[in-house]
Order: sequence, then C-alpha cells, then structure tokens
Amino acid sequence: MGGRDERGGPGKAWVWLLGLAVPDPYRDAALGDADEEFRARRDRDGDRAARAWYRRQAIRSLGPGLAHSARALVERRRSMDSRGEVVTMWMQDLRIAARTLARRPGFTVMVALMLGLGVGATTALFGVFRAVFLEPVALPDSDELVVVMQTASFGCCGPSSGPDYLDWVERERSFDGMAAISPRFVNLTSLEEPRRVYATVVTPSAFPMLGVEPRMGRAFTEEDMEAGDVAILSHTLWSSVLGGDPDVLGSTLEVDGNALTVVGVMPEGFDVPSPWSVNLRHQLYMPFPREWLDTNRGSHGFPVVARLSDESTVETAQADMERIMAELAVEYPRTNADRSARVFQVHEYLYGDVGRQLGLILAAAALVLLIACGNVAGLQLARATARESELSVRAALGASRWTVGRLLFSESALLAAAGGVLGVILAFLGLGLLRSLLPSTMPRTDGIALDGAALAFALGTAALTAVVFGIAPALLAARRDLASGVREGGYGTLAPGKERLRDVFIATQIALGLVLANGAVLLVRSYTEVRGQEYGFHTEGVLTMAVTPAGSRYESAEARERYLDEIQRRIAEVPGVEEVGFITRLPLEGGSNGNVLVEGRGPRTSADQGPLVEVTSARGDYFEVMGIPLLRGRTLLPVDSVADAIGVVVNQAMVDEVWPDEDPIGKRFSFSDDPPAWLTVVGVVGNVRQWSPERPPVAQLYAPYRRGWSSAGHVVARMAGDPAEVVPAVRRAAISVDPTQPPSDLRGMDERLEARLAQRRFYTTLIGLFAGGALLLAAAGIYGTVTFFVTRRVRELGIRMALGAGRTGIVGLVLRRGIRLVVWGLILGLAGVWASTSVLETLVYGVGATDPLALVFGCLALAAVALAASTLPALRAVRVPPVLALRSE
Amino acid sequence: MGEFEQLVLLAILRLEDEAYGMEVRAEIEARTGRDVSYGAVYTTLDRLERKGWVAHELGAPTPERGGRAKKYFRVERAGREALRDTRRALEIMWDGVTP
Repeated sequence: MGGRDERGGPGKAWVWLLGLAVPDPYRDAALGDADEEFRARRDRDGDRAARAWYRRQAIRSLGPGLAHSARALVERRRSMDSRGEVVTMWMQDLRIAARTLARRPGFTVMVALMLGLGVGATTALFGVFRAVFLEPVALPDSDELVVVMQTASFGCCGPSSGPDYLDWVERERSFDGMAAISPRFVNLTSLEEPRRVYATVVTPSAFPMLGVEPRMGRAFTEEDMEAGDVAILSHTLWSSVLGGDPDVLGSTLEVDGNALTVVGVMPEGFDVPSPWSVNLRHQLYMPFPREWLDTNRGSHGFPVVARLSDESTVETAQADMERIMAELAVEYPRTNADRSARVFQVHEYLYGDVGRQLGLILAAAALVLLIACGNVAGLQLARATARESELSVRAALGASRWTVGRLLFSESALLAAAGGVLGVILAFLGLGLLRSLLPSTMPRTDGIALDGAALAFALGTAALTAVVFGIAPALLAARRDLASGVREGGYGTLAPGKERLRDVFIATQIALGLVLANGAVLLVRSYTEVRGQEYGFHTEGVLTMAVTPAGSRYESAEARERYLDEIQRRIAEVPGVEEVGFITRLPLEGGSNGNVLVEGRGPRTSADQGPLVEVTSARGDYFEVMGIPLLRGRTLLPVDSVADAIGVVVNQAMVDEVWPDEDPIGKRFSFSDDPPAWLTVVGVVGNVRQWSPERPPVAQLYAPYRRGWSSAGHVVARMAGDPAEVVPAVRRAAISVDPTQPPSDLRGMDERLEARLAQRRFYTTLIGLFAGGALLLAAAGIYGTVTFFVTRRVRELGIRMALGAGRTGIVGLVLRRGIRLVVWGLILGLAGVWASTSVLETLVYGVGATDPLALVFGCLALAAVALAASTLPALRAVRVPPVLALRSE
Repeated sequence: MGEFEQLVLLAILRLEDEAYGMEVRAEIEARTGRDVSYGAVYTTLDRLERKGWVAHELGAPTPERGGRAKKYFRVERAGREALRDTRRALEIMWDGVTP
C-alpha cells in the first residue's frame, strides 16, 4: 500500500475505503492525490492531524461515491450491459427462491421460526448486555477513571481511611485528581413528606476530577469542608422532588435535621461512581467533613475515585499505590502493616462481574442460535439432496454449478431475512419478558432498549446465519456432479462428503446441547443448593423497616434509645404484631468488622491481628423475632450497657473460632488494645449468614445499642399473618413517634431473601430456557436426519426386508445411525463441557463446575431425546410394505 | 449544470496546466472555504468526462504519490460552452433580483 513509509501511513482500511468511494477509472489517480496531500499535511501538521484528515476524507467521500454508484447502476440496468444482467439474475434467483419457499410453507415457517427464536433471544439479551455492561460510565473520558480500594488480611477490597487518603493525595504520581466519598442514606426532613434518599459526601476535588460542573450554582470548596452547611442536588432530586424550582440556589434543605444551603444542581444523568451500590444513584451531595480526614488511620470508610493522568495506566498506577502503601506500612505499622491498595478501572469495578455473567448468558443464547443454524443447514442440505433431480434438470438445461449454488444461497438469504424480521419482533416481546425477570440488583436497567445498535446486532446475526447455513449447502451442491443426478433418477446415494457434513452438523448440535444442558443442571443445582441453605433465621411473618435516627435531636445515644424504645413500643401495639426488635445490620446485608484482642492471648502483632469479628447491635426481642436460637447464657439486658462492664452476645462461629474447648460465658475481648475496652460474653446464639446467601457464617457479636457503632438500622417485627397487611399501620406508628424521621424500606424478610436470590434465579431461569430450547432443537435435528436417512433408503430397506431381514434388524439399522450421531456428539460435548468449566465457576455454588451428576444427567437427557427422535422414523421404516418400497422409484 | 460541476470546471480552468485531482480539490477548498472530499471531486469529474466536457491525460508516476500517476484534466470546448451558457442564463435570471 503506497501510503506507508517509516512514519506510518493513513491506515490500510482508510485507503481501501477512500478507493471504494471513487469511480473505477480514477481510483489510482485519486489515491495518489490523497497520498500526496497526506504526506504534505503530515510534514506540516504532524502525523495525527494528517491521519485524522485522511479518515475524514474517506468517510466524507462515501456519500458522493455511493450516490454515484447507485446512479451508474440504474443507468447500466437501463442499457442492460453485463453488470445489469448480474443484478437481474440475482433478482430472478430471489424470485425463484421465494416461489420455491412459498410452495413449502411448512418448511419455510419452521425454519423462519427456528432462526427467529435464535435471533430474537440473542438480540434481546444483547440489548440487556449492552445497556448494563457495554455502555461506558456516563462521565467524560470515563476510561481514565479508577477506583482505588485497600487490601488487607481479609483480602480485597475495603475502603480507605481518612489519613491514608490524605497521604495518597500527597504522594501519588499517577493521577489527575483523587476524591474520597462516603455514600449513605439520609433523611430529608424539611419536606412536606420527609423522605429517605441515597446521598454521599465528596471531597471538593470530586467534581473537577470527574470533569463535570454543576448545571446551576457552584461546586464545593475547601471552606465547605470546615463549615459543612451546604449541599448540591442531583438533577433528579431537583427536578422531581423539588419541582425543578429555578430559584433553588440559596434555599435551605434540612438533612437529618441539619439546615443546609443549596449551592448547586448537577446536570442530568450525572452521578459520582459509588463502588458499593451500583444500582442506586446519589440524590444529594454534601461536602466531606474535614475532621473525617484527620480521624484515626485504623478506621476505614471511604472509597476513593481517581482519574489517571495521561502518562499512567492502571498497571503503573497500581505500582505507584503499592509503593505508597509500602511506605505507610513502615511509617504506621500498627494500622497499615498488612495493608496495600488495588486500582480498578471504574467500569470494571462496577460492572465487570455482572457483565461477565450476562456475557455467559448471551453466549448461551448464541449457542442456541448456532444449534438452530445447524438444524437449518441440515434441512437445506437434505432438501438440496431431495431436489437433486430438479437441480440436475436445471444443470442439464445449461445451468452452471454456480447458478445452482446461487439459487440455494438465495433461498437461505430469504430465510435468514424472514428469520431476522421475526427475530426482531420476538426480541421486542422477549425484552418485555426479560424486564419482568430482571433482578432489582441489576444496575443500569433503565437504559435497556432495542435501539439502533441492538437492531444492527439482530440484522448482523441474521446475515451471519445466512452465511453459516446457506453457504455450506450451496458450495456442496455446486461441487456435486449434477449430471449424475439425472442418471440416478434422484435417488442415488448421497455424496459421502455431504453425508459427513450433515453428521458433523448434528453431532455439533448434540455437543452444544450437552454444554447447555450441563450448564443448566449445574445452575439449577446451585440454586436449590443456595435455597436449601440453613440461613440461621426465620423469614416468614417477619417485617423489616429501616430507621435512621439522625439530626440534631438525636445526637445523644439516650435520645436515640428513647426514639427506638418508643417506636418498638408503638409497633408492638399494632394488632397482629407479636414481637419487635431492632438490629443495626440485618442478616444477608453485609456488615462491618474489626480484629479483636482476646484476653489472656498475648498482644497482637502485625502478623496476627487477632480474630476478625462482625459487629452488630441488637435491641428488644431481635433474636426471638428472627428465630435465632439462644444456645448458652442469656440475651442482652440494660445492665450490659454499663460502661465498665459491657456485655455482648456472640455467635457460635465465634465460639468455635476463639474458644473451641472452653466455656465462652464470661470471656473478654476488645477491639482496642491500648488500653483495652473489654467486652464480656454473656450469651451465645446461633449463626446467621450475614453477608449473602452464599457466604457461610462468620464470627459475629451483638453489642448493646448504646455501645454500638452505628445508629441506623432496621426495626424487625414478627406477626401471625402476612406482614404486607400491617405495613400501613407500622408506618403510621413509626411516623407518629417523630414525623421528621421517615421510615423506609418496609419489606418482609422473605422478600429480602428473594431479592438476594433474584440474580441467581434470573441466570438459572434463562440458562434453563435455553437448554430446553437446545434440547428441542437438537431433537428436531436428529429426527430430521434419521427421517431423511430412512426416506432415502426406502428402496434398500425394502430389498433387505424382501430378502428376509427381520423387523428388529431394520429398526436396529436405523437406530444405529441415530446412536452413532449421539455418541459422536456426546464425545464432542464432553470436550465442550470441559472447556466451559472455567467460565461456569463464577456462577455455580455448592457443586463443582464439572459435576458428574450434571454430566450424567445431561448425557442421558440427550441420549433419550436422540433415541426418541430416531425411533419414530425407524418404526415408520418397518411399516413400509416391501413392495411399495421397491416400487418407490 | 450543477453548482459543484461549475466549481470543478472553473477550478480546472484556473489551474491551467496544473489541473490534477489534488490541486482541483485544494483550489475549490481555498477559494470557497468549503471542505471538499475526493469522492465528490472524482465522481463529478467522472460525470463531466462522460458528458464530454472534460478530458484527461496521464502524468508520470512519482514516488511521493506511492508510485501512482497523476491525471491532468482540461476543459473541452463543449465544457467551455456549457459553462458560458450557464453563466449567461444565471445572469439573465439574476438581473434585477435582490434575494
């Protein structure tokens, strides 16, 4: 290519594109001109500008080029020169193909349906995949944005501490800005109807670093960190809750009882990426309080977002952060000895996991499509064989192999087009179904739509299927010696190549079916495994409600206790409610933890920081409501709150870990060690799954609320009937205690569990559907092949029977054919299963990714399906009277 | 005659002996300030040549063009006449009109 020399040319693809846009006779001269000008521009403006110019030239030339070609085509068609004939010929082919297909409506509808289902499923899932995963984060140059998290003995990833963040900002050499955030729920108490919204504090560096300015007003300043009396609204909060008031700047908003002045409104669609809750959007931004940055280095609560500088990559930034953390580990061994940092691209951190899982489901859909293609290819091939005499006559009348191949390809193209159109319709319907199945934990679902990209995907897929299942039969037909078809009267044996190809199609379908069936069985087993877990608590008849006693009125622990006491009392009075309690962190909702010093076990070292314990605070009849059994000692009493003898309840997992062979009652431990603040074990309760349905219980303690580390939490109430019926009464009871503290998140505990399982259920349902579809398609494929085999051998089978072959012999002959295909398919499929284990590992739970049971089930299911599909034609074969069979010519 | 056809014909006339594709494009771009693509220039040249209004001859290939020869264009007599007719028609139509 002429445009290349040592400094690099405009790029082959662009040269080709430009050449495409220029009429034939001038192509060489035009490319020469462009090349000459490119070089001149490169000398004058530099490489980049010159390449950009060339690209622009190529793209802008396409319009005139296309218009010119279209005009030329029309002119040539009018004058009917050779090129026009080609077009006419194709049109004629398409007309013949359409007529042929219309004559066999059953076949046509069946094929279009198979392809349509495949294309539709794949397209609908692609729509989901694109919105949830492929879309970049909606911030300028978002590929430069990273999340910086800390790693420690517990693994990855935890937030940073304030002092660590300040040191990062001072010492880093990789970023164009860093920002610390701390998302939380807050109460907007000045509204007519108080509401709880998701908000975050951000350092003043956040908005400039993200490259977004407020749509109205100003961003945060360093001074705001001191005073802390301002707030910036999200566009949603401003437009929907505050009615888009144009004079909102300067007005006062009461947040958790504190009056904040609104100084800005962020633009529509903007949000600070939050590593913790990918499906929640921040409604409100507040300045990061200065004193949080100066608090102790051992307290971690702040995720950090940063923008890579032009010179750095995720890898160099990672090395940079490791260097800083190594320095800090030396300077502050007590808090930082085992700590390091991890840098993630924001998109990967937020959507990587869900993207990979969705990608897997999309791949499953694509497998189904591939199976459908295989089926159609097989059908086409069979038809090509059955039509051999027709095609042979065409050949005898002068049609070239090329003509016959083209005819078959035209049919495939028409079928693919029909499949594509049907696929788009089905994708529209399927997307509605998918939306109703989507778990609420799935991020960015509001962007799911069948837009241009999804439609292009559908049409691309349809075109690809035309190629996949259209070209092979066409090529084979073209290669065949057509004249022999006439001599054989259309019932000759199939060319060995063609027969083998059909077998390969079917075996591949069975193999793909096995991969899907195996995946489906694994996921279903994982799901039942997770469902069957002992979670450690009751879900039926338990209502939960979030309360966040916050604001100036609730600064003292006494005030918060009084508030909760009152709420618990009033809810207990609601008819139907039996017991009421409170917990700072519900089971399955994660938590916060720390390492403890155990009395009598020697001081902690940087290598051994002591057992890691989850911290929660419980009140009232929490254990009774949740059905968590008391195994030893007693539950919490008011006396446990007394400062110098704090009593705590621990779970059995902590006893097993810390005092396996001792009586834990009366044992003491502490989170701090200089001096220790002892907590005394007064009781032991059963384990609950604190983090997720999948994660086994870990050591956990329940402290008295007043000594607790968190003021927000959930009130839990147990009742005889359906929790949904008392929701309004419970809400009223809570509001009657303090109208400025809006309760929220009123849900049954069973609903919470379902929500946690929703994602798994979603994947399992889809894979199950696809596996079912794959089995059906594979069965259809085998049935078609064996039937075809029987039809073609009617004469041979008739002769065999006339010569005395028994019925069993004939059935055996036909079945053998089906079984051979199945065996080959299963062998191929086992290889596929083996290859798919690494991707499946992320989704399975409680079973290995290669579960023998799943494999055996998959194989048996496929074998059964295959056998059933072969038996029908086999039985039909023996029912044919030999005389008829012999006469069939 | 289309407006762009006029521009191309006039550019060739202005460039005299130097009228090959790159110069034609550059001339139109420099004088009108329009960003003109090679696709537009050459499809127009193709049309003009088919009408017999322009003709071309091949130059020698040079290394700075990747070894590709230039095509030098000239306006044929029919082209000049068409251009004159167009101008005359336009002038008549424009007379006394202020849009």
